[in-house]
Amino acid sequence: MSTGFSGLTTAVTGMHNNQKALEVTGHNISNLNTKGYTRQQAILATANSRYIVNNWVELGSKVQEIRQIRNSFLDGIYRREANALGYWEARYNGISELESILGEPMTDGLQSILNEFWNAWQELAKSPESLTVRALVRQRAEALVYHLNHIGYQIDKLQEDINNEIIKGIEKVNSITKQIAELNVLIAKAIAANNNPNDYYDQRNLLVDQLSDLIKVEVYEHPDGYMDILVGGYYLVSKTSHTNLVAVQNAPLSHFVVPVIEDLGVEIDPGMGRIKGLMEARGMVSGAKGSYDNGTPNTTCDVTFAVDLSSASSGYLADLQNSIEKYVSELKSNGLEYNLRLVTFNAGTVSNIDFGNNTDDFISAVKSLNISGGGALDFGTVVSNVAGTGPFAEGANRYLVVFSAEALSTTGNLDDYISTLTKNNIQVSVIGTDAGWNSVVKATGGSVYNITADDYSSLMSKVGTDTAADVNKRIATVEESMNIISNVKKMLNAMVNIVLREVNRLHMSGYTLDGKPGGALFETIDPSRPLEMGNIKLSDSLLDLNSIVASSTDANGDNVIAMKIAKLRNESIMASYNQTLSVDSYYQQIILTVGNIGNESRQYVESQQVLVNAAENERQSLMGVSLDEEMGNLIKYKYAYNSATKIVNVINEMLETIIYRTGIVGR
Amino acid sequence: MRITNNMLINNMLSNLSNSLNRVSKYQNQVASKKKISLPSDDPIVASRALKLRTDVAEIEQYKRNVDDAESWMEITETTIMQIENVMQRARELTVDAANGTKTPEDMAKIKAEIEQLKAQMIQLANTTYSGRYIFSGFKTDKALLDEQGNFLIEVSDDEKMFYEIGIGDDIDVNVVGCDLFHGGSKGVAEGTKSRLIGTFDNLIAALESGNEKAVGDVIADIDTEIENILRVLSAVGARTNRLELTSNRLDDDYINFTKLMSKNEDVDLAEAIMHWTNEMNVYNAALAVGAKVIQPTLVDFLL
Repeated sequence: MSTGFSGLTTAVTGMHNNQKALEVTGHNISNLNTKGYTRQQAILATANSRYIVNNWVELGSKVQEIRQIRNSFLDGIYRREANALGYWEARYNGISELESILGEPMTDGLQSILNEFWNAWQELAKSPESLTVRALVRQRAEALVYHLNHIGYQIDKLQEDINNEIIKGIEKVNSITKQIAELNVLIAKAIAANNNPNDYYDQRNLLVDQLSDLIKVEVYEHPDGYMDILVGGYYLVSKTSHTNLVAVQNAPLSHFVVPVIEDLGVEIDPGMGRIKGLMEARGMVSGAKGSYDNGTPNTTCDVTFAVDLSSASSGYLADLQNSIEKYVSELKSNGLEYNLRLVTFNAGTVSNIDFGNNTDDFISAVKSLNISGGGALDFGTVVSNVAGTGPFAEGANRYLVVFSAEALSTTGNLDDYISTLTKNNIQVSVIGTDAGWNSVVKATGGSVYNITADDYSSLMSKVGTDTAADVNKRIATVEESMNIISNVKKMLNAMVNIVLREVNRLHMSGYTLDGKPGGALFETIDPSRPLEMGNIKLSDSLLDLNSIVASSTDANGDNVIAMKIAKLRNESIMASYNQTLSVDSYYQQIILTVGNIGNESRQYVESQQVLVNAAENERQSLMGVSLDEEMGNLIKYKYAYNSATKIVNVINEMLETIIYRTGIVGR
Repeated sequence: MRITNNMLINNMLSNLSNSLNRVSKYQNQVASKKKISLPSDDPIVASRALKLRTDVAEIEQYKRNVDDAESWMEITETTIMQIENVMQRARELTVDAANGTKTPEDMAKIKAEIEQLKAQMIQLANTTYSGRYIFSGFKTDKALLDEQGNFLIEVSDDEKMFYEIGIGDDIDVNVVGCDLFHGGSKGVAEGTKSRLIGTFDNLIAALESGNEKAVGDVIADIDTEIENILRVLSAVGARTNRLELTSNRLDDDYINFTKLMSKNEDVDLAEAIMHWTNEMNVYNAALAVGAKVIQPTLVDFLL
C-alpha cells in the first residue's frame, strides 16, 4: 500500500529518466555523421525498492548507465584489415608512379627510343661515310642519353618523394600517439571521478584506427582507462607517457630513413601498414649515391693471378708473360673498374702484391717472374692469401685465376677451402690441366683453360672476356625481393650499363671517318660512379661527326663496326641467373616484372578494400547510429515522459481531492 | 544485421565508385582503342605488346635495308651488264679484225674503237652511286682504276659490304673490283694491272702490230673475261633474287606482326561499347536506387 507522496516521486523519476534518455537520443542524432562516433544508450532500470514497514516500496526508475555499444573484437578486425590495406595501397601507389615514369608499352618509352637508336646504326651501316646519317646517329644517341637520364632522375625523385612520405608518416604516428597519451590522462581522471568519458573513448578509438593505417599496432586497455600502444614490441604509449619515433638515415651518407625509437635508438619493424609499404616501395636499401643495393651496377672486379713458379710450369710461363696484356686489355675495353693482385707460389714461399689499377706495373711484374723450381704448393695457402687480403671496394666482384701446370694439391680438407672461396664470393678459374682442379672450378663457377694451348693470345683474351662476362652476369642477375623501385632500378641500370659498355667497346675497337682510333661514345658525368641512368653523357668528341665509328679499318665505306653495333640488340649480352637474353628480352622482362607487381598490388588493394568495408559494416552495424531507431526511441521516451507527467497530474488530482474535498472541519 | 544510415551511405558510395571505375575503364578502352594503358592492367599483354612493337620496328628497318640493298644491286647489275656489252662489242670487233680481210686502215679504225672501249671500261670500273665508287670495296671514296687500268687501291674479298635484312641474315651488296676486273682474284695490291684491262692492252698491241694471228689469240682471253663477267653477273642476279624473296617475306611478316599486335592490344570496339553501355546502365540504376534508399527515414513519416 503506497503512500501518496511516494507515488509522486516515482512519477518524477520516470519524467526525469526518460528526459535523460531523450537527451541521449538527441546526442546520438546530432552525432549521426561524426566520424568514429559510437552510439550510446541510456540503460534504464528500476530504482532500488525499499522495504519499509513490512512493505516493498517501489521508487520508480533510474538511469543505470549511459552505455556505448561497441565491440573491441570487431575493432581489432577492422584495424587489422585497414593496416593491410594501408600497406598494399602504398605499394600500389609506388608502382603506379613507376609505371607512368616508364611509359610502356603504349606511349613512347625506352623501348621505342632504343629501337630508333639501333635503327640509326643500321642506317649508318648502309652509308658509313654519310654525314647526314652520322648526324642521325648522334641525334638518336642524344635522345637515348636524355631519356635514360630523365628516367633516372624521375625514379630518384620518386624515391625521394616516397622517403618524404615516410618521414611525414612517422610524424603523423608521433602526433597520434601524443594525442592518445593526452586522452589517457583525461579518461583516467574521468573514471576516477566516476564519470563516463564516452566521447573521449570515441576520440581515442578513432586515433587508433588512424594509427592502424600507418603502422601495425598492438593495443592494451587497462581497466582503469589507460590504453597502451605497442609497435614491434616497443611501447609508443604507456599510460600517460608517449615515446616518439624518429626518422633516422638508414646508412652513412644515405638520406633514406627508417623509423627508430627516440632515445633508445632501436630500429623498429613497422610490421605492415602504410609506412612499411612505402619503405618497400622505395626500397629498404641505402640511398647513398653509388649504392649497389639501390641500383648502381657493380662493375668492379678484383682479380688475383696466382702463378705457380714450380718447375712444372716452366714450359708455359713465357706464354703467359707474352699474352698477359691481352687479359688486361679485355678488362679495359669492357669498361670495368679493376684491381689486380699477383700471388706467386712455389714450394715454401708465397708472395702477394697488390697493384690496384696500375696495369703497367702488374704486367711488368708478371713479365719479370722466373721459375724458381721446387714442387707444388698447398692450394690452401693460396686460398688463405687471397681470402685474407682486403677487397679494394665494398662488395667488389672477386676472381682468382690460377696458373699452374700441376695437379691440385692440398694438405687440408678441400671442402673447407671451397667453402672459404664461395663464402667470399671468389670465382676460381684455372689455366692448367684438368687434374683435380675441376671440383674447385665447378663449385665456384669458373672454368678450366688448357695450359698447353697453342694460341695463347686468344686464350688470355678468352679468360678476360669470361671475367667481363661474369661481371655482367652478376650485374644483370637481380635477386627478387619485396623492394620495388630499388629493384627495378637495379635491373634498368644493369641493362643500361651493359649495353652502353658494349657499344663503347665496339666503338673503341674501330676507326673514325678520318682514320683515327675510336673513342668511347658514352661517358659518365660523375666519373666516380659507373655508367647508369642519370650519369650518362655523350662524349664531347662526338661534336665532330667524323668521330663516330663505323669502320674496322680506315676505309670510308667500311661498315663492319656500325653493323656490329646495330646487331647488338639481338646478341645475348644480358645474362640473368643462367639464362642469357638479348637487351630487348631483358627489358621486356623488366616491364613484365613491373606489370606483375602492379597487377598483384592492385588486386590486393581491391580485395583488401572489400575486407575493410566488410569489417567497417560489421562494426557500424553495431555501433552506428540508426535514425529510424533513434526516432523510435524518441517516440518511446516521449510517450513515457508524457505518461509520467500524466501520473503527476493524476496524483495531483488525487491529492487535491483529499486535501480540498474531504472533510470540512477547517471551514 | 542491424542496418544503420551510415552503412547505407557508405555502401552506396563504395558501390557507386566501383561502378564508375568500370565505366571509366571501358570509356578509356573506347577512347584509346587499346585494351590496356599500363603494364599492370595486364602484364602479359604489355610485355607481348612491347615485343611485337619491337619486331615491327625491326621489320620496318629490314624493309628499308632491303630497298637500299636493291638499289645498290640494281646499279651494280646494270653496270656489269654494260661491262658485258662493252666486252661483247670488243669481241665482235676482234673476231672481225682477225678474219684476214682487214687493211691496215681498217685495223687502225678497229684499234681506235677498242681504245675507246677500254676507256669506257675504265670509266665503268669507276662507276659511282650517290657519290660512292661501287667497285672499290670499303674505299668507296676512292676510284678503282687509273687511266692505264692499274688498281689505284688495294682491294680484297674481305671488303664485301653487308646489309642486315633479317635477324642473323646478312647479304653482301657490293661486287669487289678485284673479283670483276682481275679474273675472280681474292685480292689485289695497289698498282697491279687489271687483268681485264690487260686483255685490252694486249688486243691493242696486237692490232697495232697488224698481226691477225696475234689478234685471233686474244679472243680466247676475251672469252675468259666474258665468262668471268657472266659469273659475277649471275651471282649478283642470284642475290637480287634472294632480296626479292626476302622483301616478299618481310611484307608478309609485317602484315602478320601488325595483325598479331592488333589482336594482342586492340580492343574490340563493339564489345567495349557494349560493356560501357552496360556499366553505364548499372551506374544509373545504382544512382536512382541510392537516391530512393537514402532519402526516407522515420522522420518523413512521423511529423
